[in-house]
Amino acid sequence: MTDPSPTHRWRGVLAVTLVAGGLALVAKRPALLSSAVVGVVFVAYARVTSPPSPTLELDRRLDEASPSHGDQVDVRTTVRNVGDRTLFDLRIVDGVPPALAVVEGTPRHGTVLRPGEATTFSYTVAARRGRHRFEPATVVARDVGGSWEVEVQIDDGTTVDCTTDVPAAPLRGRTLEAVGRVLADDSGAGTEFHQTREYRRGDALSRVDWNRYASTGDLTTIEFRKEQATRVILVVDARPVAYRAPEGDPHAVSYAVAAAGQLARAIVDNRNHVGLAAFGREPCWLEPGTGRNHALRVQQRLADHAAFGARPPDDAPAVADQAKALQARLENGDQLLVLSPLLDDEVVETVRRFEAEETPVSVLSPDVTDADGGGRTLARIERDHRHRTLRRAGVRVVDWDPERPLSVAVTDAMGAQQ
Amino acid sequence: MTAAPSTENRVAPVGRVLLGLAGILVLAVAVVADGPVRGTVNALLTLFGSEYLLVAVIGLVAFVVGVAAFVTSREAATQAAPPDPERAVAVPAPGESFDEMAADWRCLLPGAGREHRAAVQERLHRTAVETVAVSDDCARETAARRVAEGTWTADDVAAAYLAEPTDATDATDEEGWFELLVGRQTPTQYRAERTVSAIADVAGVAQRDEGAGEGSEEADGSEEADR
Repeated sequence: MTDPSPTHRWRGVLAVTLVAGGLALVAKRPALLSSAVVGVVFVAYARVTSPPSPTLELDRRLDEASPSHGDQVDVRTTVRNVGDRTLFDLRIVDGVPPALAVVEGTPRHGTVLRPGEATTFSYTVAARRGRHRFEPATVVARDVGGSWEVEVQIDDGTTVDCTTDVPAAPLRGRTLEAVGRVLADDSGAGTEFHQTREYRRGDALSRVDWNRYASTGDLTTIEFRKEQATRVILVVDARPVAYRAPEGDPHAVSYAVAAAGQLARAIVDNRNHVGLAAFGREPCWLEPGTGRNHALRVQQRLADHAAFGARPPDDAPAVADQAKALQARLENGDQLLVLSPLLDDEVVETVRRFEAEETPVSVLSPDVTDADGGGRTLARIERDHRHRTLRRAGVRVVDWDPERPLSVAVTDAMGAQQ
Repeated sequence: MTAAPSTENRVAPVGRVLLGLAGILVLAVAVVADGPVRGTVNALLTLFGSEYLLVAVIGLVAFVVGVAAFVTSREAATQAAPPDPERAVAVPAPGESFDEMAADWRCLLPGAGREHRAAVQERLHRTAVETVAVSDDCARETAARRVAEGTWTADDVAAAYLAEPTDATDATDEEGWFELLVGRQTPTQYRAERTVSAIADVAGVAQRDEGAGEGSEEADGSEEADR
């Protein structure tokens, strides 16, 4: 809560009072002097009233917490005065998630609240793909004379989750010596067929290719591709240039942040390790780990860390320096999954440098271009070229149109790759 | 979640009550101890010579302070500025800064605008070469030659614009000046848009209706500055 501040609303009345009183004395006008007394009462009243000290409670309800993309979500916000004094003038502005727009009603409300009393107002937002956390509601409380005001922020952590589960992340075949779901290049424990070889004494009978034995009489053993765990670092491109979107749409960083949360879940569900980094206004690093709790840590970091802020930064350190710092943290065998709209050449150069230093990189690219003529069309064409440049360099690129679920884009891309 | 008042906020009314009590005490002393107050008033009357003059001076001081308070009242008035949450946070659209660069009035300056015009031309040239190389499945050198010869597109304006080896936009054609004179576009903007359309045709990128993206807000220019 901010400290109470005077609004100086009655300063004009003070001026009129003094001028009228002064003139009355000089011109010997008792009637005018009497009228100035009215002003004195107003000014004195403003001086003696104490600032409000609101103690408020917020409760925000959504009619659908996990809507589909484009759905309309009704929000009912209730603010309760849990203090022991009447709040005469409350102006409430709810903290609509920055990426969402209000389509019906208003998130603003003005009221008077006695102790224990509550007020409710509602409005409707259009859901867009991603996880959107409500910002704290802003409440401005003024005393009855309006001469003091206090600003209060109240939060309850409401989130609109407009994402779906992703079955797997688009990864490259690099592995740790632990069982996971990334296919290694050699044979071992797994489910995907790799090759057959001549039977050797001691091979499990379940591995013998009995069909071949029945047809040819050759005794052969089936080998499967070894499935091993991998360490994946999700790198979100949150530089100023990535904060781009057609009017009214969420920007690319909000899509990338939502996708990173979904992919982190998919990666740990497949028994792999996931870490988090960012190219943006502030360095961000979360050591790779595995398990559901670690996936929650990743999501918490995505929701709280300044690097992923909903509003674009004014500036950010050079991406080359950030990439160098990231490279220094990587261990042998790590791979990167970069989430970037690919709206400039620097990020392409950075990815290629990682590849050149034998760190495999995959790119998931939310498409926020709209080919609306002029520079917008040029931006789309240039982005297509960047995709092509990366694919030529051996980088796996998933082009994601946010109008479609991420799971579909990833599944399509992985299907096309196989 | 609950928001509670700060400690300072609870202390403030106590201070104000004490101040009020102090004022009443001073008034009481003035009434009870009649001698010193009367002496002060008599001294002031002697100084000014008449009761009216004393009252008039007090009135003038009140008038001057009142005028000063009136003059500064507009600046002194403060009010919390709550956020504006109805619309999604406004960010520039991809490519918006290119449009701004092409529409920049400095592109009209014959000498000083050379750098701006060259930046627009260079970016379009690079994209055109890459697009032709992809669509024709040829080497970049071959694509660059086609762009230089102007044979990559049927659009005369786009072909001529990128065929120019150096900035020659000072000599804008009649069509470009017409666009400028009717207040629609700068010649650079006109040529750039024709060229983007030509590149989009070659790349097979379908464009939406022109002008749908007008009115967009802030652009920090970093998108192209990063190149």
